[in-house]
Amino acid sequence: MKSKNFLWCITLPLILTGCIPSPKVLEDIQLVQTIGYDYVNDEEFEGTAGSSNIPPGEQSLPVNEVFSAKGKTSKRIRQEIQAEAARPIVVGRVGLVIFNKELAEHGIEKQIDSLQRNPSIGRKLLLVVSKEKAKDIIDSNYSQSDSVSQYLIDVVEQNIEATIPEINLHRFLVHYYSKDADPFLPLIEKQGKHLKVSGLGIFKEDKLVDTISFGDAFIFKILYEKFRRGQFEVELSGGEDVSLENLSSKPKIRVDKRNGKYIATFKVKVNGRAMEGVDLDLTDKKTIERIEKAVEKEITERAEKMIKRFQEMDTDPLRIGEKARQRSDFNRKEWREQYSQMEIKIEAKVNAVQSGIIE
Amino acid sequence: MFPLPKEDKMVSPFFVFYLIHAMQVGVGILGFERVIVQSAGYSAWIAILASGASIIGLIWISYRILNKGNNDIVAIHADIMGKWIGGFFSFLFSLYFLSFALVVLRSYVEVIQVWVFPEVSQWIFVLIIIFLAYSYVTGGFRVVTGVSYLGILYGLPLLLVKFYPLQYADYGNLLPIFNASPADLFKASKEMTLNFLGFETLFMFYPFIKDGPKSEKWAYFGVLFSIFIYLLTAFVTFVYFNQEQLKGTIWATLTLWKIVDLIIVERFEYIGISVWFFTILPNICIGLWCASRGMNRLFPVSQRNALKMFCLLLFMISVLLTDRQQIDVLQKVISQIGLYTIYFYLPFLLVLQYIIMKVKKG
Repeated sequence: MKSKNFLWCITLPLILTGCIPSPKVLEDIQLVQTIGYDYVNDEEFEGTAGSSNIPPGEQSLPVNEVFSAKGKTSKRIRQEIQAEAARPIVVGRVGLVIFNKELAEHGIEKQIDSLQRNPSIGRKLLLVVSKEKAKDIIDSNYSQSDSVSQYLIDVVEQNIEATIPEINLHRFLVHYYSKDADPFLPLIEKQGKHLKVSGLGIFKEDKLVDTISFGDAFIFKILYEKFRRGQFEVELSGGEDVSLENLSSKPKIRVDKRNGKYIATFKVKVNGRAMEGVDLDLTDKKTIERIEKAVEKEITERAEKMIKRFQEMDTDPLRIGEKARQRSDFNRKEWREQYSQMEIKIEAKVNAVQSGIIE
Repeated sequence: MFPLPKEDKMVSPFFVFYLIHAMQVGVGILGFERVIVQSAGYSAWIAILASGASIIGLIWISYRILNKGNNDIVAIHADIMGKWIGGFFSFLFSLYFLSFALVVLRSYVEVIQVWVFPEVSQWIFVLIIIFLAYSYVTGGFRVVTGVSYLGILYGLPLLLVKFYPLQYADYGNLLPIFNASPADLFKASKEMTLNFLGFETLFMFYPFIKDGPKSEKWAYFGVLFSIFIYLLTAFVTFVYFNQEQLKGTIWATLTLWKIVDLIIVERFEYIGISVWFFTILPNICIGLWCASRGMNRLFPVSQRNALKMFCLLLFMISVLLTDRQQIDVLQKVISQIGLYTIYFYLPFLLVLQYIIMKVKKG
């Protein structure tokens, strides 16, 4: 009995070896790192896959390899791209997906759906909207020596930490599926030999409806999420420039309902260190107070202006609706009707400390 | 007619904790959130508590039946319904345990096919898993118990991974707390009960527990632990996903793992699914063991031969089920049968046993 079992254990794996799926060796596959989508016409779009190829040799630099094809579905495009490539295309490590602005304005539902359906796509994937054609961004050379794909990912990632709100595929899907919020994505553009994050693209459902500037994107971040390590510059009434560094912020949204009317309040607490005031005496308490007041005013004014714009577009990227939904007396129909006219208040509280190594 | 097993084949009472818990946490946990949320929204956690509580009640009933009969379901059936009718019901029970193994096996193979190896045909996985399960079950009940103990031990570290999705948590998702009608909650509780199925195997392995009545509290602990695991899983899923998003996510727990960011692995799902095999294996082993044991008690066949027959049957049916719809139908049918078995048949059995015992005494 024992020897029979042993025999089984030996023969079964031997028989089954033929069934093992082909291994994926890094050198034998085409690892796609960035994907770009461009608008062609209402039915078709163009997909671009950017990957880098490291040629054999000790000091060889990665070579940028770009494939692109047009089609009605992502799967079709993938097939076409596969026809061009020398090795099997693998999308398991895609880190960045670029949507061309024109395409985003027409809606990106198809592309998003194919991304979230694919089991080999992660959720930390970064999505961005580009002013130029996505293909041109992927298929060009930048001054950095890294591979192009890695460079693009690094630029966006670095900005997400300090200047624009954190958004990846998962966050996008949360906003996209929510009945009471709309998504937003970082906006990128090419500037000479560099790539630059230039603001945010605001969506209504799956369509891009508005873009906000880089400066406003930071105000958006202050209203949207808790973070550390920001930087903010403000001009005082006397015309002096001062900057707050190591800025940390914590927003709170409150939605009240009075007599059937919704009122939202943003409470923002900002802490930071005042730096770089050339003619200012930063040890003086009064100066610090002046700085605090000025920053508060700046944040409040800009935020109010930005939110007004969102209300006019009837889009809710700051997920005020989600907050309203959490009330037990929430009524979605009422909310939808009221949102574009409702009162939204901003209460900013800034706390500045003197800093720097010279008094 | 139905001899009790020898003492050297028995296990200590506290192993019931592992057996019950291992049986309750299986493939269901990878995607149960979606089902209950479709009925009751994000108040569905109440349904988990409610159906968990009802299971505790059913375990109480089971122990009343078993303690009185002091044998397994086959002997109890024969005692109160006679050889033929009792034997028929025992036979159905055996098939039910087998179908339990079938659902778990087929659903897990589906997960492997969709997530990890789309290019490999299913019979290979089915064959490997059945071969493995067979080799464990032939080791006897003690080995099966050992497998369920190890299965839980290997599966637990996966809970640590919940830390990553919590970084993206939106705790406000859970508000407002009571946002479902009692009817919705009832429906969700019913659906949730399916995930707690499996404790009925107790009716088969009860004689194998040293000092059976003492194991009752361990059975309760097992269920409580299952409730805790389900609640924790649901909580993390609820704060991570938006409600509408979750309604379209088939395997919420697996999709959750997509956010995990470890230095050495880009796709944690592959590791998670592999580790999850150890949680699946005891389900299949216990199911097969119970089914074959039932056959052995009913017919003059050795448990090993019954097991061989069932393995073959399991293999053939698993291979014949090819697409998602069929698996869905299978899951629905088996869980409906399970639902009626535990909520109607068990109390009925308790009453019947009570009456017949009274009559026999008198």
